[in-house]
Amino acid sequence: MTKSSPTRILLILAITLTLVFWPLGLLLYNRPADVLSYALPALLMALSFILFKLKPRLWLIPLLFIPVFEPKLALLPFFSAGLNLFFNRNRIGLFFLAAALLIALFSFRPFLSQSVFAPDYNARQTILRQTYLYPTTWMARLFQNKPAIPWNKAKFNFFALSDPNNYFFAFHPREITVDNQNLAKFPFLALGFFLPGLLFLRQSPNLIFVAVTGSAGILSLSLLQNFDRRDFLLYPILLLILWSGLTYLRRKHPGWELPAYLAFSVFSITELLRVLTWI
Amino acid sequence: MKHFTLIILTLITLLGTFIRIYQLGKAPAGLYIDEAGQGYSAYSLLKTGRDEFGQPFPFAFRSFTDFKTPVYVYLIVPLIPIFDLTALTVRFPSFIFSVLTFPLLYLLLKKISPQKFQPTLPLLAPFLLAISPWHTLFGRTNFECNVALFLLLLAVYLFYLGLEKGWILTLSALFFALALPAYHSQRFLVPAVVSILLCRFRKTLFAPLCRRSLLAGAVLALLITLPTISVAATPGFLMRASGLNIFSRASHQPAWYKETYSASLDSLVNSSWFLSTKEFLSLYFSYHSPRYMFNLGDYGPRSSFPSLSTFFVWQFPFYLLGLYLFLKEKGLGELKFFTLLLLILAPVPAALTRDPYSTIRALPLVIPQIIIISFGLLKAYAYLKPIWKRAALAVFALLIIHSLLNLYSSAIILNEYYRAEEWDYGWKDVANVLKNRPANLPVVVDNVRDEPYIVLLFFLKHDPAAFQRENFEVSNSEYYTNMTRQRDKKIGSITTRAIVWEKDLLVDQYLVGDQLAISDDQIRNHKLTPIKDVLYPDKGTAFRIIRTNPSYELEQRRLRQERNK
Repeated sequence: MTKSSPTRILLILAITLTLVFWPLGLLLYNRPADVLSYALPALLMALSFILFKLKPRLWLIPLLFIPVFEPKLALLPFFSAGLNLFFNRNRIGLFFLAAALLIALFSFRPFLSQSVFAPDYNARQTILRQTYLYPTTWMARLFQNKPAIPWNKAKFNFFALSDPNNYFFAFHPREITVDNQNLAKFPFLALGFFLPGLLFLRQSPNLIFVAVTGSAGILSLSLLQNFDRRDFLLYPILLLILWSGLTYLRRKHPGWELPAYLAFSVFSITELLRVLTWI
Repeated sequence: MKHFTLIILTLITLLGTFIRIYQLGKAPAGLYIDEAGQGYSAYSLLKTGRDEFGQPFPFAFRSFTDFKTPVYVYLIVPLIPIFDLTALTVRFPSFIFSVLTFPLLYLLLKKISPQKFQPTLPLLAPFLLAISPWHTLFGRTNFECNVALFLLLLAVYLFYLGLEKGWILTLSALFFALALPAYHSQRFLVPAVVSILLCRFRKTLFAPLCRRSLLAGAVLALLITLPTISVAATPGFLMRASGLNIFSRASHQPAWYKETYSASLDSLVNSSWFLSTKEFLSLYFSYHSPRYMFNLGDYGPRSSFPSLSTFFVWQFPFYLLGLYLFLKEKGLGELKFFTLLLLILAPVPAALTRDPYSTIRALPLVIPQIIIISFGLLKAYAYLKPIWKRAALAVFALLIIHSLLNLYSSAIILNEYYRAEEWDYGWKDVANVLKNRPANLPVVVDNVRDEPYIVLLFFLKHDPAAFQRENFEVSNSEYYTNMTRQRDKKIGSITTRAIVWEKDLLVDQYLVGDQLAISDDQIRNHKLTPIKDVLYPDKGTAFRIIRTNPSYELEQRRLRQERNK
């Protein structure tokens, strides 16, 4: 069934608006040199996806270069190779895992100083103080211990990275988020494409890529002290989920396309104006 | 099998009871002003048939012109002759209705769950609810939302029973009508749930079996709701909603409003329709966000435990699995309908208020989320090979033990240490000192940063009739319409107002205040006599009680005057 011109135009507008938000925000509120350091891992991720479609056996190669440009993401190739091996057990997968492990070892020192494992004096003092509140030693050790410090930080990052509010509402204005630019990453109505995209991801041909790189990306970012702007790495993966949701809606509910794109465009243009005028 | 199920349910109820009754009334150690307010209103009703402002049997309690919902206060009244006016008394209704929710949830899930999930799902969900930090907190403190949740669930359960035995619909209508004024968010939730249930089951409800009971129930519900309807349009009744809702511009700008932007596109950039839509959706989705559910929890210090969110982090993968499979699986019938109904509707009234993830306002959401986690656990267990099932049960048992210890660590140990100030700890000690002071010695209690009058009324068990005589705020006819507040109060020879040092130092009296109100310098410079410093558990000063030294003050002023001449 051919789409009418207004529907097609609005679809192109909706896709364009979805694509520009996050890169535009990064460009407007950061120095160009910094933007490059945030964008390169995402570009390599995109390249990896292209290989996934064209040469599936080699798609992990670009990911191996990410720690070269961003040592903080030293563990990303390792997690990706490990998860890929879980889905596809073959020799090439083992080779990539070994290569990723070597790269991780080489980049480990710079990673460690920027990770949740870096020493935190204040957190340790809090642990010591709270230890005295407990009636028994074993209970104090169970809940107030040094391994809990990186665990709690990683947990905080993990849930922030897997929170849709992070990407569609820049968290929330009355929520205090320290050390975060709270950039608008996607127009908030794009959540209407994202949720079906997640729900029906299993039917998507890109499932393995999204599952492996998405999980690896979130895990490796969770281990950083501050993941803000580094999470641009997830941009291609989130676009794939959005595309999956959009495709599903176009296929299953074609009657809703015109009003959905219209509402989306009106709200997203307004939101884009807010991004542009906030300088 | 039936006996075994009953035994398990009893054990679950006992576990939930123990978790909630352990140091009930003592932890949290303080008594928050809202708790004291409801307790004293109940006490005043018992003694005089009127609240502390002299209004006979109000439909909403004026309190601090926040007009508290009435059901909880009336539930406290009969408990006072039994337990006296104590923190335990005011928290007891919340505790008892919290405990009663476990067997009620079991019965409801038994009624609506498909046979293949019986009896495991109806048992697992109440078990997880019993140990849930979210539900536990509101079962240990005075919060109306807990009672409202019970009434709503009971009404829904009776509704499902009534579809088969028509006369029970009348009871269902009764409890829907009682749930409506039980908490603010029920004003949206109850009509929404009733409308959807009526629509879904209209054929059965309008059939001869149910028609008469439906009509009788409607009439009964209307009669019970009439008092609420009679004040529904008053500023008092709407006070809470109008003050907190995201559309109100009286006291604050909408979220993301750019105050520094004033160019030509202002009407678009700062448009209400855009900002309100975005804010509502942002708040709504925060209630479904795993970040809040399993990591951050509620940011309010009295609606959360330190270092603990609303669910345990180990429940996260089961929530994801449960949600995915729950949405995909067919043949779940009323279980799916009821769970999704509450999952979608419960956050709406909370999302209309400004605060992200307010667990008080969205308490009904705990039910569908617990059901989904339970569903995920059962599905995960079913996927396991038989060789792994025993190990899984052992791991589950360890997780439960860890969770219970974590609950104790946060709710009892850390909460007492870190949140004492938020729970208004210390006023009981202040009241005890004031009770034993020299007869008729005046007292001034600083009220610049707090509302101490109500906690003092509570702990001193001051005569309500005397308080009504000594303090006039508004006439009975203007109770719901006049929002004037008299912050200064008289409790016999105790006055709660701001300390006026110039004047108050010349009168022999006690002064009570926090460390900001009564500093070390003032004690030293005016040679004041410290009577007692009430300390928080972390050894910080909560309140200071000092006695003035008028003779010294007069002498010092005389000397200063002479020097100035």
